[in-house]
Amino acid sequence: MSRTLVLGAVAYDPKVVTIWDGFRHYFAEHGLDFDYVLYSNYERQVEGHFAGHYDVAWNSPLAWIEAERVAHARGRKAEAIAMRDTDQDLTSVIVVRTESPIRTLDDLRGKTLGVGAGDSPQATLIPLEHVRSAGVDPRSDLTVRRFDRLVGKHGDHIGGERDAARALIAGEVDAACMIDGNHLLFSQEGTLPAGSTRILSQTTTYDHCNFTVLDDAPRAEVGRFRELLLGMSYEDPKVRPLLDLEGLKVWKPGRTEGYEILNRAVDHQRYLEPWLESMRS
Amino acid sequence: MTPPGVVRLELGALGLDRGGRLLLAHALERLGVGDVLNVIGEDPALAVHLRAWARASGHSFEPIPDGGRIRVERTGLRSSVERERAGDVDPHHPGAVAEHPPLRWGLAARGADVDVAARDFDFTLSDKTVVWSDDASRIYAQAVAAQWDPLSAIDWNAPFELPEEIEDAVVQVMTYLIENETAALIIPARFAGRIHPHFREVMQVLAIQAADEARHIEVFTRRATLRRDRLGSSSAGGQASLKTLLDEPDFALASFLLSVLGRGRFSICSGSSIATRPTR
Repeated sequence: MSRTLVLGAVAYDPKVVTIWDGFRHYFAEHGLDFDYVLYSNYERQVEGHFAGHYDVAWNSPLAWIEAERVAHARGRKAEAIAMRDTDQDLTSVIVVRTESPIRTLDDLRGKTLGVGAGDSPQATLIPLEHVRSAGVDPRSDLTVRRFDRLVGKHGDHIGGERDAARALIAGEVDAACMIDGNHLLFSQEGTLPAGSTRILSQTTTYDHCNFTVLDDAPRAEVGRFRELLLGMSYEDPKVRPLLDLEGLKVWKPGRTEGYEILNRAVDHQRYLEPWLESMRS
Repeated sequence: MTPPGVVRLELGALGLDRGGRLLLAHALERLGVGDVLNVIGEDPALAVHLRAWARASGHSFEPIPDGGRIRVERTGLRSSVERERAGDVDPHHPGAVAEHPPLRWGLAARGADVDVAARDFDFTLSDKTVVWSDDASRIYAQAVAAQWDPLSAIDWNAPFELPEEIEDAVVQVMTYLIENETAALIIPARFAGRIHPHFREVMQVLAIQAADEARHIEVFTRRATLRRDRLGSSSAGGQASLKTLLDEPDFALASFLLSVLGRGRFSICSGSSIATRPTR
C-alpha cells in the first residue's frame, strides 16, 4: 500500500507555497499522494531529512553537499534524483566598473570584492574559489565584503547579489560577484546601468539545486515522483505556470559531476566545518 | 558558408541587455527544434549573457569566438497556453458575433486570439439577444459623421435682444435641458460600462451618444450664461422623474423612457414656460 511522499523545501519566497500547492494537486491527479513541509533555512532542512521528517529534499547545491557529507560521515548514502534544466551548467562572473583599471584577477590584490550572502554558492563560495584558484588568496590578498541577506537560504533570493551590484556602482567595492544570468538581469533592470560594468572573469560551469533522497527513502513513491517530474511537458497548460514559477522548462535526471568547484570551495573556505561537526554525532 | 539548418545572427554592438534579446527571439521564431543559431557580436558580455539566456529559455549553448552557438531544443515558447478566436472583427461575417461571449474574453477586441486562461471580467450585459443590433455599426458611423463643433456651428456673437422675462424663461429652459441631458449622458455611459466589449459597435454607439449629450450640456450652459450669471431652478419633482430613468436597469426601457419621458418632460416644461410669456 502506498503512502504519502513528503518533500522538504526552504521558504525563500512566498511563491514557494504556490508552487508546491500546485504540484501537490498535479501529483494527486496522477495518483501520487504528496505533501510538503517548509523550512526557513537549509541547515534545518538537512537536519530534518536525517531525522526522518520527510522523504525528498529540494536542496540548494550547498545543501546537497551538506547532505552528501553528513551521509558519508554516518555511513549512509545520498542520491540526487532529479533537477531542473536550469540547474545545469551555470557560471558566475566577477564584474568591475567599465572604467576600472582592474584587468585581471591578479589586479584584485589589495582591492575590495563584494560577494553575496556568506552561504551563497553562486555569489560567494564559488567565485571566491575561482579567485583562489587563480593564485589570489581571498583571505589575505584582498578584502571580501559580504552582503549577508537572509543567511540560511543559500542565496536563493539573490538579495545579497543585488546589494553587491549596487555597491559596485556606488563605488563602495571594486568588484562584485554574481551569477551570469543576474548580470544580464541587473543590466536590464538598471541596477547596473547600461555600459557601466565590464566582466572581469567567469568561473567554470557548475550545477545548482537537486532533489535529494537518502538510502531509506520509499523507493516506489520516490520512483513515481521522479517519473512524474521527468514526464512533465512545458506544453501542458496545467503544469506550465508551475514550471514558470519554479524557473525551468523541463526536469532532468539528477547528476553530481557539476559540484566539483563548490566542493573545493567548501573545503578551502571551511565554511561548513562547525555545522558538519555538529552533525557528525 | 553557413550549413543548412544553421543560421547566423550578427548583433553588432547591440548587447542582450540593450535590445539584442528581441532580435535573438525573432531569429529563433523562424527556427525549428534541432536548428542552430550562431550569434555573433561585439558586446564583451555577449557570450556570458547568451549562456544565461539559453539556459533560462531551455536551449543548448556552447561558446564560439565573439558569441555563442544556440541549438534550439523547443519552440512555441512565446505562446502561453490554449487560445481561442473571439469571434470575427467584421460583424457581417457568419458567426462573427457570439450569442453569449465568455466573460474571460474581457476587453479583448472581437476577432482577437484570446488566452483561455484570462480571468473573467464583470460585464453584466453579455447576451446578444438583449444587447446587439445589426444596425449598430451603421448607427455609429452615422453618429460619427454627424459630429459638430459648437464653436463654429453656432454664431455666439450674433446680436439679439429679448425682453428680460423672456431671457429669464430661456435661462430656465436651458436649466431644464442641462438636467435632461445630464441624465441622457449618464444612462448610456452607465450601460456602456456594463456591456461586454465583444459587442463593440453597441458600446461605441453608447459612447458617442454620451459624447453628444456632453456637447449639448456645453451648448445649453453657454446659452444660459450669455446674458445671465446664474442658472434657473431645479425641482424635486423634475429630478424624481429623471431618477426613474437612471434607476431603470433595463437598457432598452431606459432609452425608451429617456426619449419619450425626457423629451416629453421638456415639452411640458417648455410649454409651461411659454404659457407664462406675456402676450404682445
